[in-house]
Amino acid sequence: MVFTVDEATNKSPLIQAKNVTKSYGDLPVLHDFSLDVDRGEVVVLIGPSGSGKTTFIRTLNGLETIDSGRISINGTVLADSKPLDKGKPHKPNHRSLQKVRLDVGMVFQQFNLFPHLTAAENVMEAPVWVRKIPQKDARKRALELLDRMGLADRADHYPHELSGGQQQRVAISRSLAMDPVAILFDEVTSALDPELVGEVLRAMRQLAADGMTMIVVTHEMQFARQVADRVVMMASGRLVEAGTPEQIFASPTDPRTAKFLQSVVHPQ
Amino acid sequence: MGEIASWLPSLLTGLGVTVELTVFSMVFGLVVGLVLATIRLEPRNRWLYIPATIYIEVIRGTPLILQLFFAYFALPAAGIRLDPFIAGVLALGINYSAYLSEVFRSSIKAVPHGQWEAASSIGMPWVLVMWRIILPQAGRIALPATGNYFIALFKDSALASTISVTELLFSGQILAAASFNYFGIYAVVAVFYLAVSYPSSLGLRALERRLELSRRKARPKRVAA
Ligand SMILES: Nc1ncnc2c1ncn2[C@@H]1O[C@H](COP(=O)(O)OP(=O)(O)OP(=O)(O)O)[C@@H](O)[C@H]1O
Ligand SMILES: [Mg+2]
Repeated sequence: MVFTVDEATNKSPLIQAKNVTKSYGDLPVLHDFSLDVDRGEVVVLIGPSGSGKTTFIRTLNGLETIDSGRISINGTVLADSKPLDKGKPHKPNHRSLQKVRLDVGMVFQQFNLFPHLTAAENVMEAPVWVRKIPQKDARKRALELLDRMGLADRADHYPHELSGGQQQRVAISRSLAMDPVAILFDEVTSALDPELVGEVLRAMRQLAADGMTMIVVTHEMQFARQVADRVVMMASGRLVEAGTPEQIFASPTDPRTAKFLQSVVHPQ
Repeated sequence: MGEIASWLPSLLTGLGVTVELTVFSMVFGLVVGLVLATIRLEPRNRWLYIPATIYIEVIRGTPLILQLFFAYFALPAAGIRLDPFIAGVLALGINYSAYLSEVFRSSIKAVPHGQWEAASSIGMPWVLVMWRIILPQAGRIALPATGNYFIALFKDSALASTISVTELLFSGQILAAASFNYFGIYAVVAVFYLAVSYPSSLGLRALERRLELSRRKARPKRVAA
């Protein structure tokens, strides 16, 4: 195990989103959306483009605010409101926001590595500056994490000297370095050349096997089938259905799910 | 030849003052410019945003020489009597801070938003994100324009001669008034300015090329989205 999962007796779900609603102007994006995620669970979010997957997972570490609903993560309430008093977005307070961001890691489609720092420095940045861990210890840990991601020999390379797959694995290491209790993945293989997708999925599979709590937005159905504990289908900002991969892939109950799966498996 | 040699001591002293004036004003301009840029990133913070905007518009909308006169000749009426050199640094620094703040603001905005998000998502608070992640990248973007302003400031500092700062140009004027050899003296003064500004702009261009090179190297390896 390269990260520590707090095996606390905490029985309530690690991540709780209840009746989350959000619009951009007049455009409703999340509609009364609820999802609980337990410790160690891997949830794969699927759904057509524009269904609100990105928006939803971004609300979970405060990159987006919500209009109403409740979000609580690892005991920290990030947002909690009644249906809104006329349009004022619900802003989380600074402390909970900070706590949640330390608890929840995020990996982005476009990697978003810091281009002026080497791979190892990218990974060390937050431990050194946020957690105030001595450089030497932080570097040692960063090298361990990079090694686990198969990047031992790339530690001192700058992002522009790495392939997309390598950059994405550095990004995963960077988020692991803060020992998050959960990691959010937003289509992290979509910007990659096809031959580089496998290495990133392999790293994520390993993470799941180690017991990391993960919410994964992806169009990689093979990955969902093999790794997900639960697959959640979204459409138009609503939860359409949720279930084990077998249930969802073999016998979807909602026609929208069937249609979506059809489109992913047989794109024209 | 001997005549030129006799001018050198006072011209060199003048050049020293010009360089000091430039460096102090630039430091002032950089610091205040950065503060203004930061303030103007957030228009919703109206109590800071509006005064900062007014400051910038007033400074950019009036002549530098007027600002110098204001600092040196007008402020005494308000009971503020400044040494010419201090008044010069203040006026030049304030003037350049307004221009530099716009350079910094657009450079900060040119750093992709994903950098803010990635840094926030690993728990870095705003100040750290700015200092460790955004400014190092924005600095690279701002470098060419900032360097050009630096050289422009070096030349603009000659305006301080009008408020009796004995910088390079004013030292030349004093010599010229005594010897009437305007052509010779102003030619030497021009050579002095060039001797600093030309190597500076060469150095600046070399630096830009180096940064561009490292960016170009990045391209072939970038993954098609
Ligand atoms: N910043 C924004 N301002 C306005 N509208 C937005 C913004 N971000 C997203 N939207 C809209 O919100 C809706 C949901 O977008 P979101 O990115 O969450 O969908 P998604 O399920 O992640 O889609 P995809 O599979 O294409 O990534 C879309 O209609 C999108 O156009
Ligand atoms: Mg998306």
